[in-house]
Amino acid sequence: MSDRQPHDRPWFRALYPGWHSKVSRFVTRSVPIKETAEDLTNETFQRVWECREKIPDEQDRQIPYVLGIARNVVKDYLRKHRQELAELVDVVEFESVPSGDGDIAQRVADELDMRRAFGRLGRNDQILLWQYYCDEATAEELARQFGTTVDAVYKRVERARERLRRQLKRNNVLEGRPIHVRRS
Amino acid sequence: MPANSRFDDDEYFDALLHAAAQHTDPVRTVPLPEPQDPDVLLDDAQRGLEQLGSMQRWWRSMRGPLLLPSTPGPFGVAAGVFVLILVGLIGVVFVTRNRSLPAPPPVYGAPAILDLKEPDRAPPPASTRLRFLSSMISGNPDTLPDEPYTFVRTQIWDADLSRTPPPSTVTPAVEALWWNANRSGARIHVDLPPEPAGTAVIPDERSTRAVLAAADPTVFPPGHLAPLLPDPPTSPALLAGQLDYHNGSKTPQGLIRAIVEMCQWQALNPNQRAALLQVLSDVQGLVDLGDVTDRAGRPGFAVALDSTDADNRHRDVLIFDAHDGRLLDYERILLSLPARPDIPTPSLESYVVFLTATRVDAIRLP
Repeated sequence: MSDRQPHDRPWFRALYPGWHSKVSRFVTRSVPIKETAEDLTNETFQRVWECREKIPDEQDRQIPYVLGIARNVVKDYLRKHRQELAELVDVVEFESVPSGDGDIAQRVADELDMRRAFGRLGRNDQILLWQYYCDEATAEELARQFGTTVDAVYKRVERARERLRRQLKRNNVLEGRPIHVRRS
Repeated sequence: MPANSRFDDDEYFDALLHAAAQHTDPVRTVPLPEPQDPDVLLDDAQRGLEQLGSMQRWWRSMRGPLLLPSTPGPFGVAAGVFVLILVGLIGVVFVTRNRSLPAPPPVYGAPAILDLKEPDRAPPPASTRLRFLSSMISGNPDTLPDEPYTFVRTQIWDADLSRTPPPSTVTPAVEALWWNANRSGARIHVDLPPEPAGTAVIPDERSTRAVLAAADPTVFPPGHLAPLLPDPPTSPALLAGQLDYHNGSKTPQGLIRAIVEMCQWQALNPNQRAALLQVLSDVQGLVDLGDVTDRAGRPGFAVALDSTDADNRHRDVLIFDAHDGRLLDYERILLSLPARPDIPTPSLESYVVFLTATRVDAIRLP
């Protein structure tokens, strides 16, 4: 006889708050539009409910599964609304490097370049770096969440950093160039 | 400072990245969705399910939660039928044209399995040998330099079973890791050139050094590295308890993999190695496969554990130096994988060759 816990309404109610905080952050970072993020978060949980019997009992394995569903919901949405999202992207404009010489002007220019390079990373890499640098999630937590190893997490962080570094170097071959930034 | 070299300054680069991540993070500016009443959410889900047509319900049950879009749509169905017809036609043409040609043997890109001696009879338990070696090295003087950084250099390879067909070449990597007590440090990971299947070249120290010296290390500020067991205890009971915490599956093979991960971080002193051997000696099912030469040409002895994970069978092999108890090599062999008939078995699934484990004064190659 199976010892599996019934995946019923009390089971869902107990786990929902913990899952919600993770799913809502992931979805908002993937589609940063308040109302859409709300809809997608709710849709994620409706799909979680639909396939509740497939969700593992071990808590460590639940979050990767639930976030996998969230990823799929987001992917579906992006596929259907690609054109609308493209129109939301701000027009690229030129902004000159702040005048004056010295470290401050350089630092500001570099920060703008870094933001731009960051914006060109894949969404998955961005989400990983936000979790790593902003949420200060440990590699162990990320490994559990992505269903992978700590080592794989470090490698992904390193690869993303390396891509940023290469891009910054490439952008800075010509000094005194205009900086392309997105209007905030 | 020249235009590009400032980006090589890891502290500067990290400060920029930290600021950019903070500035661009959408959750700073977009309010997170509020949790809903779970019952309302579930009622909506139930209503939505009841409104689906039978075709859609069938599709949802078929697709599983992760892989396919929510509805195939008319274009999706038409495209699917078209692709099926096209594949069928191509298949017929291909088979007709190549009927006389024998199919090429599949090449699976894995290194050869180590030449482990197959004993005539059932191998003995490993506990006797491990306990003996543990007692031999316990109390030996610690010869590790008294320096702040732990330095570990390994060569690693993992099978990429996510690809179909699997890769036909072997791409190992060398890794160098430095870390100190405040969890700062650096790591270099470099992929080596692909090798033909069936080989496992361990470059000599000079070549590896050249490869590592040419790569940029990733530097981790204090607190950003999380070594598994920063200070492994010398008491076998304590060590077993701490390793058990990191043994997620609570299985003997999980314990072995936790040990391997710990050794990818640690330069163990003789008492710590003795404790580790004691812990291993208590693992049920671990057998002594006798003397062996590891991939780097070093003599040692192998202990192995067979395990089953779902329908798949694995063999975890550890190779130790018979004199000082250092872990030299870890190999995982795939004994059966019913879901993937394109992967030959037995075949190698993973290896970690421990090349250097010591302590150094700074982040530089010893």
